[in-house]
Order: sequence, then structure tokens, then C-alpha cells
Amino acid sequence: MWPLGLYWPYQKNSWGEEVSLRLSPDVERAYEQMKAFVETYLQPLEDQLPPFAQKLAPEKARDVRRALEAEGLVGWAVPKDLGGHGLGIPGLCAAREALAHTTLWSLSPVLGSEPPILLYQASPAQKEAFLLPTLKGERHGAFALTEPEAGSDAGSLSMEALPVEGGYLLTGTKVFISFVEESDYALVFARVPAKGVTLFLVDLPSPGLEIARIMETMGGARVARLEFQEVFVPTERRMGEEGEAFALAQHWFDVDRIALQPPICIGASHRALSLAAKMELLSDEEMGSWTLRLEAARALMYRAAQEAEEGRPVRHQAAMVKSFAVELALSLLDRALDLLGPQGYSQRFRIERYRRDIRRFAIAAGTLEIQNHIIARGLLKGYSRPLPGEVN
Amino acid sequence: MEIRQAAQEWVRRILAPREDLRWEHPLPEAAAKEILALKKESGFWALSLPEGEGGAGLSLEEEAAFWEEAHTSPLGLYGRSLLLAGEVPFPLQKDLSFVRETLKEGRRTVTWLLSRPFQEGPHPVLVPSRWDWLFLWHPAEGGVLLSKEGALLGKKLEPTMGSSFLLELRGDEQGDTFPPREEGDLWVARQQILLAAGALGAARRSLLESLPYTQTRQTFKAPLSQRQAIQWLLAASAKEMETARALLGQAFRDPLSYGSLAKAWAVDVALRAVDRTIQIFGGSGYTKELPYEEYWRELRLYRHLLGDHQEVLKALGQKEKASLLKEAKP
Ligand SMILES: Cc1cc2nc3c(=O)[nH]c(=O)nc-3n(C[C@H](O)[C@H](O)[C@H](O)COP(=O)(O)OP(=O)(O)OC[C@H]3O[C@@H](n4cnc5c(N)ncnc54)[C@H](O)[C@@H]3O)c2cc1C
Repeated sequence: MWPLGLYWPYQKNSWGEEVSLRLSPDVERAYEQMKAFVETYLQPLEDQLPPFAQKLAPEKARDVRRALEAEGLVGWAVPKDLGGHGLGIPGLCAAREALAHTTLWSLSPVLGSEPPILLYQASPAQKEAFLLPTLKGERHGAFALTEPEAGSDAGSLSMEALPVEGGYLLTGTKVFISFVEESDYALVFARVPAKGVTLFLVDLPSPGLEIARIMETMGGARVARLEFQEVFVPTERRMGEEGEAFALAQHWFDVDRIALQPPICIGASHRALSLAAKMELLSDEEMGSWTLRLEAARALMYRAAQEAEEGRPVRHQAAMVKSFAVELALSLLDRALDLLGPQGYSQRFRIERYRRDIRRFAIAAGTLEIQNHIIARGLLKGYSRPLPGEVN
Repeated sequence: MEIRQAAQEWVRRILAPREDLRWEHPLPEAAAKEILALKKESGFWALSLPEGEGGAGLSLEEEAAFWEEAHTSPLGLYGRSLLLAGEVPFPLQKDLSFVRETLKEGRRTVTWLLSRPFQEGPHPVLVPSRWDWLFLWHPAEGGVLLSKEGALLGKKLEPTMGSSFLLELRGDEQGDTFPPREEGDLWVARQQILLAAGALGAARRSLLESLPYTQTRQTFKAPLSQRQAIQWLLAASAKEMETARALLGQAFRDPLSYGSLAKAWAVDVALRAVDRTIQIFGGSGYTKELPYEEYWRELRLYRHLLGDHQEVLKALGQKEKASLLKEAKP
């Protein structure tokens, strides 16, 4: 049912705010261009993806990155003055929806990296050191928030950042950190005594910082346990003020909940339906029923993306988009596995790979239960917008 | 949106004070007349007819806003017939005497989408509690306009679980015919969108009224709102309704492609939202003391109105299969 509409004339959102949205034709073009690249260049490489890793051989990964750059298929949301397409969150959603037509989508941080939007708020020196090289694909950042005793309840984290001459000493443990092997810096959340949770840009490796363990998962993701023992971080590597971490990062979390996982869910579902159509697995009615749910997810995602692009707080919309899209993709992929039977269980049709990878979305970056909690809390408090500094 | 505010005001002033009438089926003639007179007086009459021709000349979005708000009262449900009065389907708008009569007498013309050509009856048709004309539309064959007497000749209306009735047409009833034209398809799409908006109005009321209840109703020494089993129900309704509104946004842009989708999705979302509200209110939710059980019974009709959901899904599935196969070819 692509292309999506250019106008969203009617609606106010659930909280009575006028949403008069307009998606640019460039966004649709982003989808088409990326889809064409995925089909001609990436799908043929799918067999090279190891079952429990999300990487290609280094030369291959470099080739892909070069091809992407040559065709101008990186930096969708990156502002034009920084060399990107300037298509914002909707553009990123569209490109990622197309990218999801290959199981190689999970290499995205390496292939077509978009820096965390948080970095746009960094100081000029930090931008120079982290943002610009990330844009060029020269540096990659990991994101270290979760701790053994602080997952969903991230606000209770206990990694300490002790102020010392010229900087801080970070001590504590981070778990389930993605892309550590591919990254050379990390955004680390740590608590400054009496001040609160603060954000730091930490080089990988750094003295005192140990990758204690790399864990394989059900899918291609590999997550690390990081031990920090008095890791020195200079003051210039602190983002924002002490105690400001969540205030700084919340909008980024929300936007990521719209633009990272949901487009993958939608694209993967689309691909599964394509396969079902080719193999005549579904009755017309069931095909219609899945298509309808997919259209609903898509409509909501692009609307929320546009709202985020306009700088509005989108905490609740993001929670809705994420949980709706993830639940939809998991149930559709399960259905496809059932219909394909033993063949579906095998690696032949790649549905099993999607299903294993996408299962993590129900946990990572805010579990589905937490999304429900955010939506219900917003409704019950009768306010549309989160209070400043509220975690999750 | 000004129309939305006016519609809210209309519901507050006219429908809300009369909500006890929901126990009466059909609405007593006098009450229905009174409400219709007030509806006309407030300018919510012949909504889609251009202003120059005696109508309100509302845009589709404005009309949808009116339907959505009207549905926040059970009296505004389709089966109650209040919304149909004074409206003229596009293909009939050229018939000036029909328009005049409709405006003056508050005639109710029911639109029904045929899944087979009219001659290939029988057609089970669901009509609301009060109606005067039946306008049957088939995209490839065009329309047939039947008067109530003509349609009913030799038949009985059968009661349903809601306020509407089942009428079995044979396909040999006599009426005016209309050639297939886009205006007919647009009229159907428009009605689908209105039903979608209406269903969301009912869903909205159900969800919003359940919120304060969960905060005050105590069980085992804590309010329901603190129970996640209950919060999950609220969250599910809210997010599904939000997807339906977004899809409705698509339908305004492109009614012919998205009207039936928006309706099918919004109505199902609304049925689930209303059902969750029934559950949250427990025993009282199930009784007629509260409007939710009626909302559910009446909205269930919308699954068959103007595009039976099974048919809509089948057609959508066929279309999507074709487009997926085409996409996969090169
Ligand atoms: C593949 C993967 C990659 C990840 N990558 C990163 C990363 O790069 N950086 C990073 O910082 N973290 C990362 N994480 C961590 C992830 O964000 C956490 O796993 C997640 O926030 C959940 O925390 P937890 O595992 O401690 O579970 P817990 O918070 O202990 O939750 C356990 C269960 O209880 C439920 N639960 C918790 N609180 C409530 C509540 N109030 N109401 C109802 N149910 C509740 C949860 O939904 C969950 O089902 C990753 C996780 C995975 C699986």
C-alpha cells in the first residue's frame, strides 16, 4: 500500500493537539531508493550472515558501506549542513522500513550509521570529536545505561561518577550493552553523588574499563557486560550538566522508539507477507486482515515521526508506535512460521531469523510492559505530556 | 476545528439531557421529531449538500467530526436513525424534488453496499430503526433506489441484537436505477469514513469514562488504576484508537483507497475498546444502566454496514497479494 500519503489533514491526536502533517515526496523516494539497494545488493548477501551474529566479514562490510555512500544512501536524518539528506525522522523511518527487507538490517549501525540525535546537543568540541566522525562512519558509539540491578527502572542505576581534579572516576557495572565490539566510544550514564545521573562520552577502550563478557543471544545481537573500575573521564567529556542525563536523553529515547524498531517491524512484516503471497499461504481474508493491521501501524508511525520531527514531545505516541508495531511483527512472523511448517523452522526462508532478531524489541530499549505502563500512566494522569525528568 | 466544537456543544445541549431515551426502542416518534427539529435548527442538516442548495456544505473532515461527536451519545448511533435524517446520497443530489422533500420532511435514506449485482438476490440488508428510502449501490452495476413500501412489499422486518432490523430483498423489487459513477463510490467511501469516525467517538467515550472509575473503584484496598491488569486494558485501547485515527487521516486524503480500510479497522478497534470498558466496569458494565453494552451491540452492526468486514478484508487481501507479487517479479 506504499506510497504513503503526503497529507494528514484531519486529526488531532488523542490529547487534542492539532496534527496537520505533511510528508515530503523525498521521504517516499528515500524508501524506494533504499528498497532498490536492499534488493539488488543486500539480499544476495544474506547467506553470509552468521546465525548468531550481526556482522559480515570486515572487507565485505567495508564494500557495502562504500556502495551505500556511493549511492548516497546514508545520513537520512542528518541535517543538510552536515552533509546529510535532512529528511528528519520520517525519512529515517522510511529508509529503515526499506532496509528491513533484508535480514542484514541489524548491521545498520555499522552500515548506514545515524548518530544518536542526542549528539546534536553536544558541545562544539564534543561534536568535533564524536558527532562528525560518527557521521562519516569513522567512529561508532555504544550506549550504556542498563545495570544488573537497574533495567526497566533505569532511574535507580548505581554506577558512580566521583568528581576528582579535572574530571570524574566512573566505577560500576553495565550489562546488555550492544555493539561494544564495533564501537570506539560509549554514552555512559553514571550518578554523581548528591547531583544525580549524568551523561559521559567514554572512549573504548579506556584504562580501568574491561569488557568482562560478551553474551550471545537468541538472535544476531551480542551484548556485553562492562566493568568500570575508576575509569577517568575528563570534564570536557561530560554532556550537559551534572544530574541532567535523563532530561537530555529522554527525547532521544522517545524518537528512537519511533524510528529504530517500528520501521524494522513493519518492513519485516511486509517481507513476510510478500513471501506468503508468493507461496499462496494465506486466504485473501487473512491477507487482508494482516495488511490492515500493517497499514494501521504504518499510519501511526509516520504520524508520530512527523510530530517528533516538529520537536513535539512524543513519549506516549512513541510508546504506542513501538508496542503496536512490535506485537504485530511478532505475531505475524509466528503465523508465517506456522504456515511454513518445518521449512519455516529451517533457515531457508529467513523468517526464523527475523523472528529471533525482532524478539529482542519486546525487551530492549524499554520492554513492552513499560510501554503499556507509559501509555496507561499518561491516560490516568490526564496529562498529555511527561513531567520533566521523568524516567522511561 | 469549529465544527467539532459546535458538534460537542450540540451533543451536550441536545443529546446528553435526553440520554435516558436510550432505553426506548425505537425512539418514540415525538422525541425523535423534537431532536430532529433541534438538529435542523442547529444547522446539522444535509451536511454534505452544498450551501447554495440548502445544505450545510461541510467538508468530509467536518462531517466526520460531527459523527464522531454525535457518537459520544448512544442516541447518535447509526441504528437510531437520527444521523441519517436530512442527508442526500451524492447520486440523488441532482434530483431536486427528492432533495427538497428530504430537507423538508427529514427523510432518511439508507445507503447499502451490495456485494453482488442487485438482480442476483437475495440480499440480506440491515436497516436502522426508522427509514424512508433504501439506496443500494454496487460499484460495477450502479444504484437502485427503493421506497420503503416497495422494499417491504410482502416481507417482514426481523429484529436484531441492536435497534436495527434485517430485511431480505429478493432482487426483483422495482425502483429507480442509477448508472455506475465515481460519485456513488465516493458517497460510499464517505459513509464508511463517517462510520469509522463515529465508532471512534463511541470508543473515546468508553475509554475516557473508564479512567475516573478505575481511580475511584477500590478492590482489596487499592484503586483499580493501580492494577496493571487494568492498566494494560487502557493502554491497549488507547494505542489501537490512535492507530485508527492515523488511518482515518489517510482516508481523508484518499477516500476511495482507504475508506473501507479505515472503517474496518476503526470499527474493530472500537468494539474492542468498548468491550474492555465493559470488563473494567465489571457487573455494572454488563448491565443496561451504563451505555457500553448498547454501544457494543450497536457497533457490531457497523461490521456489516457499507462493506461487510469479511468482504473488505478479502478485497484488500486480493489487492495486496497482487501488489506483492508484482513487487517481487523484477
Ligand atoms: C538484545 C538487547 C540489547 C540491549 N542493548 C542495550 C544497550 O545497548 N544499552 C543498554 O543500556 N541496555 C541495553 N539492553 C538492556 C535493556 O534495555 C533491558 O534489558 C531492559 O530495559 C529491561 O531491563 P531488565 O532486563 O533488567 O529487565 P527488568 O527491568 O528486570 O524487567 C523484567 C521483566 O519485568 C517487567 N517489568 C519491569 N518493571 C515492570 C513494571 N513496572 N510493570 C510491569 N512489568 C514490569 C519487564 O517488562 C520485564 O518483562 C539490551 C537488551 C537486549 C535484550
